[in-house]
Amino acid sequence: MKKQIYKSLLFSIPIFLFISYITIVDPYEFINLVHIISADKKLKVLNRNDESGPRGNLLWKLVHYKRNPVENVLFGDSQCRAIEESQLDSLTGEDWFNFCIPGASYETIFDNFWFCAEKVKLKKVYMEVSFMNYNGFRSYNISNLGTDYMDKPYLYFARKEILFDSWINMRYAISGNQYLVINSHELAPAYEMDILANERMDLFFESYEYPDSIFAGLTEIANYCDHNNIELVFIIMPTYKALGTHLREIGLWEPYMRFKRDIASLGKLIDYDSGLTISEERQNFTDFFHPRKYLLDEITDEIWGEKPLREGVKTHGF
Amino acid sequence: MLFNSFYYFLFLGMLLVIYYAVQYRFRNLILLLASLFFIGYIAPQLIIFTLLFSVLNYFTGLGLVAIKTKQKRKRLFWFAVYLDIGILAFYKYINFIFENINVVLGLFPSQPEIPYLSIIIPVGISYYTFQALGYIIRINRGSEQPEKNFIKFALYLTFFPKFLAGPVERSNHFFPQLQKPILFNSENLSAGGRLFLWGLFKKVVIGNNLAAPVMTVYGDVHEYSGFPLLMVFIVQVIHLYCDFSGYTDMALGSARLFGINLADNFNRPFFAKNVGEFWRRWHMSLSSWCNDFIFSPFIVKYRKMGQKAAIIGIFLTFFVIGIWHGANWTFVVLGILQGIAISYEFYTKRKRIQIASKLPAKFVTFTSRLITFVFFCFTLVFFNSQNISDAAYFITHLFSNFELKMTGHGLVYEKLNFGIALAAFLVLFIIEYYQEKGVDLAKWFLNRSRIIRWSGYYLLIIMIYYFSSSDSTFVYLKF
Repeated sequence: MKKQIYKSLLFSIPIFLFISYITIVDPYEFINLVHIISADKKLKVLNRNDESGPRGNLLWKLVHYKRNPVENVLFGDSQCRAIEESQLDSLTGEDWFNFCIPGASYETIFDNFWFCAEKVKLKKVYMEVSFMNYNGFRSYNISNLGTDYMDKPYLYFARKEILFDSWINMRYAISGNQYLVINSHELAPAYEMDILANERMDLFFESYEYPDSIFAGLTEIANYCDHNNIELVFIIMPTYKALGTHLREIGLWEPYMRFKRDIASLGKLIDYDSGLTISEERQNFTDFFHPRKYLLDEITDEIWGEKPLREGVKTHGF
Repeated sequence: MLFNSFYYFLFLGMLLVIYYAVQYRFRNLILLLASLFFIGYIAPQLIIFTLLFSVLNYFTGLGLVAIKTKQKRKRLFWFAVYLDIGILAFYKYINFIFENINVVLGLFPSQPEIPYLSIIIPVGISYYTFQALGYIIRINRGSEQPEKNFIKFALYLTFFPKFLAGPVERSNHFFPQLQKPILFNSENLSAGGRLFLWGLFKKVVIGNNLAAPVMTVYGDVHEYSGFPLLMVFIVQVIHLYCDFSGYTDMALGSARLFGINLADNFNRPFFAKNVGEFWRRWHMSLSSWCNDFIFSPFIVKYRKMGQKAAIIGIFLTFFVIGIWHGANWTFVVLGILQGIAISYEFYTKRKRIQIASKLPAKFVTFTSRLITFVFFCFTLVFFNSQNISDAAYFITHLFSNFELKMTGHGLVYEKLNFGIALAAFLVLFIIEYYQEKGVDLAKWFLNRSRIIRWSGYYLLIIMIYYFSSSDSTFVYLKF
């Protein structure tokens, strides 16, 4: 039997090496034993493309929030993903956590909210909401991309995505090659981004149905915040004017206005998509839906800082 | 707890340590407790059900020998047989029977419908019912003595590697292995581990990656016609074979780790030259069970009827095989089609041999295998379809709107995985081809140096790791 145990151990050496490799690189700080690669680099790696972004952000944020729960949280999707927590902290003098996940649907945002509410007594909740997913036909949930690992930790060693992420983390840490982590959208020419943006608009609004369940989910959160003295603020981010034109053309302008009225009925709403001059300029946006970083920083300063909201931003009268 | 899950590996690893650490006289008890834990992990109430089922058949076996009066023994035998079949029929077929009665009642105005029963079919019931029946029949025939040790008997019915989806193990194959002490044997561990790994490879790399087009098409068959249907027509057989034979290899491998050999289910079925031979190579534990306990007794009892008895026996046997799979008319048709094919082969055997003798042997072999394969593909349409109407649509639209294009029909989501699965199947097929020709590739491989063997195992492990997906249930678990 000793010989068999010895042989089994010998055979298992590559498996132990593999486990050690994942543990050392630890692309999501899930194991949290060794930190040979900085968190900043790991975040760049996980945001490298459209596949790794949603999955990576979810897992990273679930793991880190669970470890260090914070009472002030920003929820949302990719529109606010790039808002930096350090900026929020310095503007407000409080600890903030950015829980915005690229590709998150409302269902995913709801899951994230309840996940945080379970961990800590929340104080301030800012929720970025968009009309793109406020649609009965856009019902999906990507929460499992992160929660699977929380429920079954062994998956961290069993899924090939983690191995790829570890591999790119190591390459990036050694070589510093920015092409490993630059999202292809950042390098794409404007016309390509317009094509992509038009395709996405078609995808978002191919069919429309009023989303009763999403409104119910938002109402539940609003009631919870109300009962627990949590400050709840909704934010609508600016989009390029082409989106508004498209909505008018396909007859969804009124549903868009109803969306704003729905949100305003639940709590304070800060609406940056109300015909501001920033929406006129294509260069303010990467595609039609995502403000560039400088604009995002300005908006962050206005919402969380001392700076007043720019002219035309609506906060009432929906 | 599926065989391809982390928890099963954990369970297996811990059990192995405990099993070989305790004195050998406790090993059967350990296996029984582990099997009950395995069952309880699926559904705790299933432990009570299977234990009661085991008690019933255990005492029946003892009673059949203890009772000396022939009449009483006969009564006990039939009581137990009807009870076992009755339990199976109740759980598996009662709503199907009600459904059909309701269809008939629907023909008459203002007839009330029979309400359906809200019951959950106990997992694995088809498998352990047949095993229990086989045991009782053999004791009644006098070909076997009853097992007096309840632990061993309960282990026969509940042994975890075969509990969910077989193989349909025979008592006269299982019990003798428990009679002598099972000692630690490194060969058992190596062989079991290899078999398990090979099964996992077949399931994860081939079966899982071919599942998507099959599930998608049969999920909404009316959305497709022409090439997508033709593709699924062929792929479904490879998918089912790799799924089920992969499962069986994992079951056999798991059992072998504990020094127990279970009956195999597959013997290179794609090399069968006719449908009769196919069923001697496909799901062998079930087909041989049906042969021994349904077909053979039937033709012996009605031998005066001559060939008619054989034909009726064939249809009866395949009707049982068909309906065993589930309560649906598609399975009845599946069985009838096999019955028709084997009856045809029975009646035309001489003629076919005459024709074949005039043709080149290789051509005959190739054509026979191809026809058998295509026939099985055809019957699998009924196996996979949700109802007869879907199956009819599938068959009648195989060549409609035919446009040969590999992509664009939304069936193959991950082209690389699909391609790798087909390539892996090709390798599997080549291995089986050589095995069929008498070349023992496994022996050749095992005689290579350790570095080559271990590289081979690691190649399989890497492929399993790379191609594993979340969709991982087994087709035959539902039976």
